[in-house]
Amino acid sequence: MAVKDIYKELSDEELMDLVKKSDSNAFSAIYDRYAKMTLNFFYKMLWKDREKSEDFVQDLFMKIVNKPELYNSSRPFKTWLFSVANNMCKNEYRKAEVRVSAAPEIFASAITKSSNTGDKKIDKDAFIGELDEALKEMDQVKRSTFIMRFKQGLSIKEISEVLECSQGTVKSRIFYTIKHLNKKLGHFKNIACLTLLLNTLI
Amino acid sequence: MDNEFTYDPEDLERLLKEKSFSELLPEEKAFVLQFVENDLEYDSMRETLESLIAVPSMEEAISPKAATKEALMAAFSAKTVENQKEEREEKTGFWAWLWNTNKTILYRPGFQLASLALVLVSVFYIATFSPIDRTAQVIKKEPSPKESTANESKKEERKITLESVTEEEEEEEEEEEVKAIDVITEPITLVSEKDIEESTLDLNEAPELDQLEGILLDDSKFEIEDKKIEREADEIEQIEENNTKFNYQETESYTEIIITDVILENINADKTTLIYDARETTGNMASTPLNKTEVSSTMFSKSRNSLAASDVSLSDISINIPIKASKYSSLLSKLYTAQ
Repeated sequence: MAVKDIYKELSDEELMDLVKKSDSNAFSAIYDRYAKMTLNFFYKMLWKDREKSEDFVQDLFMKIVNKPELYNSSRPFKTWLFSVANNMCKNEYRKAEVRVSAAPEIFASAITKSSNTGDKKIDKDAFIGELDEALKEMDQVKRSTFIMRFKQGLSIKEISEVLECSQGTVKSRIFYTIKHLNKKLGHFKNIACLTLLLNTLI
Repeated sequence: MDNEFTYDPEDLERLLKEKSFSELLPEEKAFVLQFVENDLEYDSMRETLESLIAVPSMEEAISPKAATKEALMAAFSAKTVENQKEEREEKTGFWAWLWNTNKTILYRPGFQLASLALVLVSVFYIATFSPIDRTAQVIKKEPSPKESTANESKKEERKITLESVTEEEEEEEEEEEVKAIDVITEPITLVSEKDIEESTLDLNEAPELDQLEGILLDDSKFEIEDKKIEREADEIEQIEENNTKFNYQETESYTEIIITDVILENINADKTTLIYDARETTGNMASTPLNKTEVSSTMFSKSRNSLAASDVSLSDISINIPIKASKYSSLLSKLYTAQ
């Protein structure tokens, strides 16, 4: 068995213990495991700004490089990583309120473009664009909760640990988010059937 | 109605995922209708949720750039090198040696040095500022009524030096004082040059003796002694002058003086005249020059024998030497007896 395969079998917490001991292979493994996930999280949270998301991923892992002792092994690494990422997004929201307010216009123009085409793919893109716009209207907490739940696939328990709130609060937020999106995206009710169809064709 | 308490709003997501409104149990419907208006809204929300769950698969997931990982790995390697350097310094540095955490606290050099320093400081403090010794000195400095007048000068000196004086030392000082008094008051019957030198030395030490406690020196004794010494010195000078004359005559007229007769005049006086009857000889006699101190009965008799044995021309010479009777009384008496 190759060395990298051995690291792949280790848990996040075990890898972080090795990272604290300056094991570069462990750091590489943990990066491979979470870089894409965190990049997409930042991408969704930061108005689909690819460059900014890349920078945020680098900053996030630089925190691990410089101060791996910040991570407490008693806590699951995944929730700790997302809580750090979420805090970075919060700070970014505070810093760039102007850009946040300008973002809906960008999304709106993207939605308008996609709506003009008229085929099934455009319907899908239109749905995603409207979803992003609807999420944009939500506050940061509900938005991050929704992204972590439906786009990053985190469990209710993990989200509650990331946001440091009860699981009931997370569930409640998700319910009211669905209710809100139902009003905004009601005309895309057949999108699920469409998605299944697309997946079948592909 | 008991089932109402088994559902919470948080559980709506699970119900939306799992059951349509028609599939809900009556109590579940009652619970759901608290949060939605009707069955149509419930089903609409259900479809929306299904769509939302399907969105990630529709979206194009992005992947991080390779350069990002390279930059992070380079930073990690640099940090590792830095950490290793720090660890090495921590392990081999002075502070690491001083406070070696691998050893128990008693064996750490830092603790041992600190303990040694504490001991040294304590010893120095006790030796220098001991309150017990100070009390003892103060008590000993208290003067008795008898000593208060006689020891005044010494007491002041003690206050300045703060020397602790024991009783034995005081006794020794008293003995020395008594000896000094004995030396000073000793009757001068036999005085030699050596005695004069010693007595002179004693007098030179007189100022120190003056400082001794409880001793009242009689200045009159010193005056008498001074006069005697002066007188002795004068006599010695006179004798030396005479000897010089005698030696001059000897070198001029005689090679050897043989004493044949001695007449002591006025022996009880301070000054008297010693009359020698001497003869010139050219024989092989002892070449010891004649002077007052070497005139002995042994030499006298030997000279007589020599005279008898040899046939040499002699010329009688009479030499008068003023000499102090008290100083050479024993010698002169021997000479006189021999004669």
